[in-house]
Amino acid sequence: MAISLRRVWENQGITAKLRLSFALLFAIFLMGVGAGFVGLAVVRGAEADIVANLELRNGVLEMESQLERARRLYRDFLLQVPLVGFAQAQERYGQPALAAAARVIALSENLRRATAAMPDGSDMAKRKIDMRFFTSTAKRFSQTLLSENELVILMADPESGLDTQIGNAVRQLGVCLEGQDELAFPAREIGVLLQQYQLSRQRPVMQAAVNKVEALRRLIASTPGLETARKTEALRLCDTFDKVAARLMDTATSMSANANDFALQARAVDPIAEDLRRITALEVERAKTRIGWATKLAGGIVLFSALLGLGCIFWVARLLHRAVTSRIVELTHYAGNVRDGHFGEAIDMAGPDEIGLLARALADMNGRIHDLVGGLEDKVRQRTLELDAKNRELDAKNQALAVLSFTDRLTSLCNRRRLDQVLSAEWRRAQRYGTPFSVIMIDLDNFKDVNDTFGHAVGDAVLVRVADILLAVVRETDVVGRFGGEEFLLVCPETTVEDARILAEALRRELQDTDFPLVGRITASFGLADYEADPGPAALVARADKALYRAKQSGRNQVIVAPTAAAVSRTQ
Amino acid sequence: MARWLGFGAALVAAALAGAGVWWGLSNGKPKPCLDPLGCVEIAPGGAIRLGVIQALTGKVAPIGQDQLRGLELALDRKGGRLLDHPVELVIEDTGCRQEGGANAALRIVSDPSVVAIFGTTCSGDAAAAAQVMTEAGLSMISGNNSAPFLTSIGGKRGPKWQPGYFRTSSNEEHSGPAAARYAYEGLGVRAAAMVHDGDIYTRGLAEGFRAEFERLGGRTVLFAAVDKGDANMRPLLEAVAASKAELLFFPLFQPEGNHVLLTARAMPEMVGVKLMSDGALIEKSFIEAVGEASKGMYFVGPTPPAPGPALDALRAQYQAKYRATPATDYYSSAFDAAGILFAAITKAAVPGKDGSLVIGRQALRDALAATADYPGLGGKLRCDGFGDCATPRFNVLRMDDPAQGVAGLTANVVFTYAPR
Repeated sequence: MAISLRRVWENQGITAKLRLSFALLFAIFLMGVGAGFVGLAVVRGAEADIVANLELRNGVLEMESQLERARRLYRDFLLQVPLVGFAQAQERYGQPALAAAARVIALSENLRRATAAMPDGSDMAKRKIDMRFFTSTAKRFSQTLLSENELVILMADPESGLDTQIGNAVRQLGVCLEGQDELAFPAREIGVLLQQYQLSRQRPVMQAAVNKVEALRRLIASTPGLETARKTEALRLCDTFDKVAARLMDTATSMSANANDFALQARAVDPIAEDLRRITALEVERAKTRIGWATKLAGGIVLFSALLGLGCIFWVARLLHRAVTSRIVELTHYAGNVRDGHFGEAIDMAGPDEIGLLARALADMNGRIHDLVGGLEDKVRQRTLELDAKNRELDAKNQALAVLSFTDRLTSLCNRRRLDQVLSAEWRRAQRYGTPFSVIMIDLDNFKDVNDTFGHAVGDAVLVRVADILLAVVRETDVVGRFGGEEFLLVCPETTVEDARILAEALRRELQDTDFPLVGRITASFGLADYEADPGPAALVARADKALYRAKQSGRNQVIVAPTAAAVSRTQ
Repeated sequence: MARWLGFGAALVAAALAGAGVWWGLSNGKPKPCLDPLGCVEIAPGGAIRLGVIQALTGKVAPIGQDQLRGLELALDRKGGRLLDHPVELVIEDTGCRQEGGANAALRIVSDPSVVAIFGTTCSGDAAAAAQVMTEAGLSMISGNNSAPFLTSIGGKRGPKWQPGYFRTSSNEEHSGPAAARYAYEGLGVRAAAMVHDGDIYTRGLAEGFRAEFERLGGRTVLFAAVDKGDANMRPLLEAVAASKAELLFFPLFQPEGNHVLLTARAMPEMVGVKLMSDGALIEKSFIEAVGEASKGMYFVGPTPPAPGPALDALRAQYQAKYRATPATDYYSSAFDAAGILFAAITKAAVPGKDGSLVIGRQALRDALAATADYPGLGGKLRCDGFGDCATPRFNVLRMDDPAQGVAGLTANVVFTYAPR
């Protein structure tokens, strides 16, 4: 999988890679945004649940409080009737109880609608049955209370209530039977039983009273001294008592049933109300928890997305570096190498993308350059070799020319130009450092005769032979040259006049002893002078020449040292 | 032309797709509920929930318990399932009080998944419960209620009649008259006192007795009441004695009936007064509670099913399941009531291909009302337009030997009254 992805990635162009990279980053951004939205939606849903549950809880609490208020007011009404009278009790407790009951009916409808609107799956939705029962019972409580109120009015209304009626009947009976002790006593017993009944509302008590009335009725009927009118009135009152007592007992029974009903309702709904309160509180807590984890989860996802995005940025940067930058660097390095002439380097950068194409183009270009440069080098190398040969030839010629320019053609000794250079250099050195140096002027004696006698060829041969002798005898540091015709000049650096005279004497003897072909013996005269602060080399040579002249004058084949300047001045 | 052909083909494809979607959505599911009272939808494998409202506490509890057991026995015969769905009972107690019946019914109808109600034990409970049940659009069937007010009196709708209410116990419109006829004709009583407890059942019986007794020429010397919970019966019985009544008809429940009997037996002035009660006291715990005091006492109650294999099998099933002898015979009418209810549910239910069920509430009422020739334990049962499914037939029993219990009492039939 990873390999195929990598292959797909590598097969993409730079633009496609950039698109994919930015698409990936955008997807991560979208993931973060999506997580934020989902988290927000969860939080909003939970908040809605909280609001709905709080409303429901408030509804339950209010309905329960109204139920409790109605019960309490009704109980107080019953308790207060004997103390403050029916009207006061009705005004203070009865009517508020009915108002609370009416409020309960309205609340029960609201609560029923709120419960029906609860989302499926919530605990409250699962308790819809309990909720319906709760609201139905609350409504029924109110209806029962209304019915109870009617019963209370029927029984206790001071104007026309059954208690009033039966009390009036007993009172009138007592009045009617006044003076008849045997009749009045049972009538008082009836009154006592009635009072007991009104306190206890126990049917047997009233039944006992009814029994007493029945007995009284029989007693009245059998009492002979009672007037007919009183007897009739007393019997009518007995009948009234019986009828009202029957209604009173039935009313009390109904009220007792209602009281039992209230107790049953309270027993049924109180735990439900408690349960509903608990559930709504739990739902609120759950919603809060949901908000908590949604916030954490969304935050986590956003953080994760950020980290993932950061990681992806690095990853994409790495991918782009590998896919683009590093390859460009490699191409640059490759191009640099090519620029530096490393045409033999190869580049392995396969791939269908633009850089791969560029790499292949560069490689092709390099190959082309390599081919071109390779031919050029061969040509340059060939030309260089040819040039070296020419240069060597030229150097040889230059050297030969140099030799020729400072060499006498006939004798191969230094020519006059070279001798001038040497004399000048030695003179400057002697002038600067005070070092001694001497010059010896040599002239072959009677050489004109040789030329005239043997011809110039022989004369030249003599000169060559003399030159060989001079070169053979002089020291390595000495410079010997042909000064002109048959004159030679010997420059002796670092040589005193005495040493120069010895050298000149050795040369004279050698020449003298040498047998020249055809010519035989030839001598030479030597004029010698050493450096004495002469104003220039020419002065020194002139002095040596003068000494030579004197040697010639003195008979030839001898060495004459030029006198010193002091000696010359003394002579003059 | 080609364009029109393409358009037509697209229309056909759209129609086919729509039909496919409709088929996919509707396949295996029942049709939408069209019942005017609504429907109970039961998911595949889901339970059929039946509300059970009985008097399961107090002195009347043995009767209520036998009602529940009659239902359970009928359910066992079905393997605990109806239409391949398990049956779940949602049981509520009434305490044999009217307000208890109302509260229990309110709780039951708060659950919209309840299909029908099985109950109640006492007719007073039923009057309140049936009203709640009817308002909720449910059906209700009892194996024990017998007050005429709940169904019909004299061929006319009773004041407490509610649509959707049915019962398999006999309408005691004829129970009071049966007792009165035996009192007048069998016992030669000419002056009688009647006592009820304000409950529509006991009041109905007492009034039925009075009407028939007076029609025969007898004289009502006392028509009194007690309250539920009264224990002091002496004033009442003093009135009875004073009225010179030859017979006291007191169709009361326990414990008030017990107090009346025991107090009467303790009063010398009541020695000559014949005592007659009703089926509510034809019960094992009553006989055990009052013992010898019940000797010579009369009872009027519905004629139990005639002994036979079906009844014997049910009794054996009862004893095997509960390891006890029945406290009353009323489990058999409960068994029949449950059977009728199961048959009606089976008839009214519309099964879906996916295994779900839809039960229309009005359809269930109609199915119950259409019950005819149902093979009850005592013979064919047919529900009339007022909800009575049993043929009225009453026995007057005399307790000769309390030691023989309910069986001995029900076997000692001194009079049978069958108005039709």
